[in-house]
This record gives sequence, C-alpha cells and structure tokens, in this order.
Amino acid sequence: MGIAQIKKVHIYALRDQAERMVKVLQDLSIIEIAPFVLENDSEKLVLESIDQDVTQQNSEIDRQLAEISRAINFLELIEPVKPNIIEQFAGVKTYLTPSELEALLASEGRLPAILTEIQQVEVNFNQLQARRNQVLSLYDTLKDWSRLDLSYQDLKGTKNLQITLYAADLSESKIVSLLSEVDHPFYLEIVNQTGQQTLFLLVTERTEYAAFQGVLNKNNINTVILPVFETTIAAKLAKLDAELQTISQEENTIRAKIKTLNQEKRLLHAVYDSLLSDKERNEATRRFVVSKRSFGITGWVLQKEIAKLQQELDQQQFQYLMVTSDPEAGEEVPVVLKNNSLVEPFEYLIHSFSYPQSSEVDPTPTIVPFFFIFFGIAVGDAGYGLLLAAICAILLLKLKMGPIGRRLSKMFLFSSFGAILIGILTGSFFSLGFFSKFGIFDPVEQAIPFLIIAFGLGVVQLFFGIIVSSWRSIKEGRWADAFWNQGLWLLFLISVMLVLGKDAVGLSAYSNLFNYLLLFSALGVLISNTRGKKGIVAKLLAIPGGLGTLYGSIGFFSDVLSYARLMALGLSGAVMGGIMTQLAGQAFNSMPVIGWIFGAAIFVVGHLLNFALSVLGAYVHASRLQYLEFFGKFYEGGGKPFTPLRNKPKYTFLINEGEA
Amino acid sequence: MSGTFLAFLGVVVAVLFSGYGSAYGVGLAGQAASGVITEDPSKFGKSLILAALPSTQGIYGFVIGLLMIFKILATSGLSIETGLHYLIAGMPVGIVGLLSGIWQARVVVAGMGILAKRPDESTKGIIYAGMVETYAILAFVISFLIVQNIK
Repeated sequence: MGIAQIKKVHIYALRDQAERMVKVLQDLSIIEIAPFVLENDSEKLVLESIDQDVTQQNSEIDRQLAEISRAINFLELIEPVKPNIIEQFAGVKTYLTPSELEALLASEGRLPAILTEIQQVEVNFNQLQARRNQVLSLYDTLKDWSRLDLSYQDLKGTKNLQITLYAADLSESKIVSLLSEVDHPFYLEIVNQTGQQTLFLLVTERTEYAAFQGVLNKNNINTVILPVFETTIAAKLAKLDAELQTISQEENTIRAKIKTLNQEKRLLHAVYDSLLSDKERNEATRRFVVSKRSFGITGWVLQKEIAKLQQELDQQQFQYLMVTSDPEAGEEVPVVLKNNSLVEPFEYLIHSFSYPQSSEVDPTPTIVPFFFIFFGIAVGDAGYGLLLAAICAILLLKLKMGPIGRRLSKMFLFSSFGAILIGILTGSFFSLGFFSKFGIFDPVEQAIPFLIIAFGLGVVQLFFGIIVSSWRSIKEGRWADAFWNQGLWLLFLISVMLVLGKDAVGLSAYSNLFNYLLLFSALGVLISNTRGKKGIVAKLLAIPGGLGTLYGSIGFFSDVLSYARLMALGLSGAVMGGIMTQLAGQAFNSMPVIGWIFGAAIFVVGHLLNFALSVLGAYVHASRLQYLEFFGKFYEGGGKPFTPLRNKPKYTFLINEGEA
Repeated sequence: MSGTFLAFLGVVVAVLFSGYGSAYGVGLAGQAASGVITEDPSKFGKSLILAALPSTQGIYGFVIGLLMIFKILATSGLSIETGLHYLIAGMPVGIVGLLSGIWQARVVVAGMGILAKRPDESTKGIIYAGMVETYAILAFVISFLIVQNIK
C-alpha cells in the first residue's frame, strides 16, 4: 500500500552503443529519463551537443509521419472501417502479436512503393471527382434545353436572321405581349417550362434585334449562352451520360484498388507507430549528456525493478557503469502508486484527480470503501449492479484494453457489487414489486432516515479525513501535535453536533455536559492556535485566528450537507426505476401479445436509460465527494506521475502470441 | 380556482422549468460535442458522458412532478392552502433546475474544450460540471421534503 520506492539511476556507456541501449530501455519501459544534471567539478568534460541532430532527425520523422497519416486518412475516407459499439468508445486498433509486428516491420521496404501508389490513386480519384463534377454541371445546364433540335452551328443564325435563347420568369402569353410591343415580325418558340422559368428561342431579323433585346432586358429577361455542343443537345446529353458511366466504372476500379491497398493498412499502422517510437527515443536522448566517446543517462527506476534493468543490460551485452542512489531531500521524485489488486483499480480516481507528492501518503486505500458504498447508494438497484458487473466482465474478458481501460473497468466491476449490496438491502431489483418485500429499507418511503444516513456517512468520511490528516504526526510519534491540531478539532465538531442534535438522539438529559464539552473544546481550539508562537503578545494575537478556525466548522457542516446528493441520486433513481417498471407492467397487463411486447420494450428501454443515467451520476458524484469534500481535509496532490520511456502506439495494440 | 388546480400548477412548475433547463443544457452540450466529434470521432464515448450531464435536472423535476401527481390523485378535495403547498414545492426543483441546467451546460461546453485539447484531463471537466449539479440536487431534496410533508 502507498507509494512505491523509487531510485535514481545513472548509467554510463560507450557512445556507439547509445542507440541500441535506448531502444532496449524503451522496450523495457521501466525507466523515466530525467535531464542529466552535471556536477560543478565536471567543467573539464568535453561535451557535445546533439540537439541539432535530434531536431533534424525528428523533423524528417515528422515528414514521414505526415505522409503516412495522409495515406491512412485517405484510405479511411474512401473505405471507412465501421467501428463496433465497443470500438466507438475505445477506438479502432490494429491488433498485432510481437511476431506479426516484427514481420510487418521487416517488410518496411515496401512502404515507399505503397505510399506512392496510394498517392497516385488519390490523385486519380480526385481528378475523377473533378471530371464528374464538370460533366454533371454541363449536363445540368443542357438538360433543360434538351428539346431544342437545332445544332450548335444552326444557333448562329443566317446572314439576315438572328437566333437568341432566353430564360424568363414570365408566362408564355406575357412574353408574347411584350414582344408584340416591338413593331416587327418575330418567331417565338417555347423550348421548356421549368417551374417558374420559361425557356424560349427567338428568331428576329438581325437589323431589328436591338429593339427586341431592349424590351426584354428591361423586363429582366436574360440571354442564355449555351456551352459548346456538336450536333443536337439530345445527342450531347447522351454522350455526357455515357461519360458519366465510364467515370463510374473508373471509380469502381479505383475503389477496388483501394480495397486491396486497404490490406496494407496494417503495415502503415505498424510503421507509423514505430516511427512514433523513434521520435520518442530521439526526444529522450536530448536529456543525455554526450561526449565524444561516451554518454550518460539519469533516470528514475522503481527499486524492485533495478535488478531487472541490470539483468537486461547484462544480457544485451552492454559495457556500462550503473550507479544507483536515493533521491535527494527536496527533489521532485516521480510517483508510482503501489496497492493490492483490490485497491489498485481505484487508482484510476487518483489518476484523474492528481497524483500525491512523493512525501504524501497515497490516498487510494482511504477512498475505496467510501467510493464503493457511495456508488452503491447512488445506483441503489441490484439489477443495475448485476448489469454493470456483466458489462464490465465482458469488457475485461473480450476487449483488449490498455492498463487504464482495464483499471476503469475493474473499478466499475468492484463498485457494481456496492450497488448489488444496497439493492439487496432496499429490496430493489429492477424495481420489481416481487423483490421489494425482501428489503429492510425503502428509500422512497423512508426518505428522511435515508437523508440522515447520507449525512451520517458524510460525517464518518469527513472525520476519517481529519484523522488521516493527522496520520503523519501520529506516525512520527508526535502525538501532541495530533491531539492539538486534529483531536481538539474533532472534539469540538462532535460537541457542536451533540449540542444541536441532543434532542433528536434522546440525550437531552446530558445537555449541561455537552455545553461544557463544547466550551472546553472551543477553548482548546483557541489555545491550540497559539502553540508555537513565542511571547505573550504573539500568543494573544493568535487568538483571533483561532476564532477563524472555529468559524471553519461552518465549512465542515456545509461539506456534510453536500452528502445529501447520495440520498437524492438514490431516491430519484429508485423513483424513475419504479415508474419504468410500473409503466411496463400496465402495458403488459393491458392486452395479450401486443401488450407483452410493448411492456417488455418499455421495461428494457426505460431501465437501460435509467441505468445509464444512474451509473453516470453515481460515478460523477461519488468521485466528487472524494475529490472536494474528503480530499479537502488532508490531501494536496500535485505529484508527478512516473512516465517511463516507452512505446506509445497510436494505431497498433500489442497482444500476446496466443490471443490473435 | 381550486386547490387541485394549484397543485397541478405545482407539478407544471417542477417539470416545465427543470425540463427546459435540461433541454437547453443537453442541446448546448450536444452542439459542442458535435464540434469535438468532427475533429476526432473516437472521442464519442467521453463526449457523450459530458453531454449527458445536464440531463439530470429534467429528471429531478419529473420525479418530483410524478410524486406530486400520485399524491394529488390519492386525495380528493384539496384545499386552496394545500394546493399552494404543492405549488411552492415545485418551485425549488423547477427554478434551480432551469438555471443550473443552463449553467452546467456552459461548464460542459468549456469541458469539451478540455476533451478536444487534453483528452486525458477530461475527467476534471466532468467534475467541474458535476459541481453545478449540487444545487439542483439540494433543490430536489427540499422539493421532495416539502412534498413529503404536505398533509
């Protein structure tokens, strides 16, 4: 339990082994590389800077990464992988065993050819799309004129006759009357009527054309100039149709090609992730100290893993010197939490809040029982608990998850038993009436006792928090400190509660005793504030500060009030669940068959909805009570989690040989 | 005006305002979530959790409303005064639900920013949004206690 022992390690080796050694360290994933701090007397060392090399290498890697990721994105865009419901949440990964990965990386030589091919396909594909758009827009302009049976040449008219095409927002008769205003002969042919628009052809003498044009323009009737076509529009349209057909065919061939290229995605993913690892390693080497022939690494390693590190380096036949030392006082040491397998999953809660500083205690074990019970109360139904347990179990068994995902699933799996426990106590199993008689407590009927239980749990947890905050004093044997700082404060809070609540718990007879207790403990708190102050004046000046401490009891009781959320969540969940079951029952009993189907559907959907909201609320509020109310009493956090040099794949996920 | 009318008015206050707050909240949160998803569809799961947070106010209001209806239907001939009790019982959960739903949504929208830029830290955004909920919960508890104590 608590925080694992971490040691500082210095490794020195020959420079030509540097690259291989970093790779070994990365695959081991047990050392966090820290910046090498030079001693003052090392000025004589001739050091070399490798920063520029690293920057150059990494920008080359970045270029390759961008190229591969472009190719992956293109494949993804054209032939997307449909994620299943779990992958929706966990992301789609390429699962590889170490040997498969090795085999893929061995064929890395094929990559440039594949990338070029994908690029070529992408270019072709885009060209095809552009051509299709062009054809489609041409088709769109021409199709309204398809009844025009003149050729493009004919439209130019003759020596004396001018032929013009128009589009008007007016009806035929209106157009005719407009044209009749001009005192010259003309020929009008309506080509098409599309919605509001009238498309027509006008034949006039060239000499009179201007007069017609003037009238038409005045009425917002515009000339239409058709794109070039050869024989007739109908023929052109048929031709365009044929072209669209070929484009579709070509696209199908390209898509087929993309499908085959899609099989290379595994290679792309593997190479991408291997490049990411290279980059990570390069970044790590920035922290090394390098001379012409040798290099040095500083890092943090778990004490229990030092032997493993040494063994591995020996086995790989490095010539090296390794020095281990304890961290110096005041040094910021990365933190690794170490707990038994029952508590370990709850480290997730610490992980998403803040790691403890290396000098603090690990709060994980202290929150486990509370989170378990709070989550249980907030969900409050054995059926929901079983459902959640089943979901988590399936996830853990079927899904290949990283350590954090596994931790989260296990945490919910354990917590679901809290819900089952509370469900049994309240006789709630999907709020079915049959089970309710087994319960010993009804949250809806006994809402006030429920609220008091929630407050009681709050008081217990907050008192526990105060005791934990004195833990360090107690461990170091400073009992006096623990008594003055936390003991009196606890006594004061207890006596406040006794004075206020003596009637409710039937202890009115001791009223005087409680009043004296309150007085004494309050005085005690005032005095405790003067401890450590030198001289009578400083001690007197500290007394107003003590009043401030007493006032802090308001904060304490408002923290207790916050635990009302447990009752509210449990209650609203229970009422909602009850309604779902009731509605389902009514539908079920209304008529045979159809009623049964409806009833079952309402039951399933309604309870799933309530289940999801209950679990979400329970998780958010059970963790909030730890973070704000409980941690507020003793926990600072702000520690730096241990982040060993390791592979951080984006697309691939390594699995054991047998699992494939 | 009868007592029953006032009592049903209380139901309406509880359900209407808190429902509006949640609808507004989930709507706003959903828009922001969609923005995150256009950039990175793999964040669907986490954004869903954030976006669902403002939905609880509506449920609290609904639960109170339903409890009231059951109770109103079980008694006949409500006095004006009892009706007024129901009316005020609906107010805490209704009005606080409305405001906290809207404000929670704003926190959620900001939390979507955390999710987009630093997905590992998105739990903190969830906790911030959960803090707003406290007041909806307190209002729910008070509304519930008032309903319980109506004779």
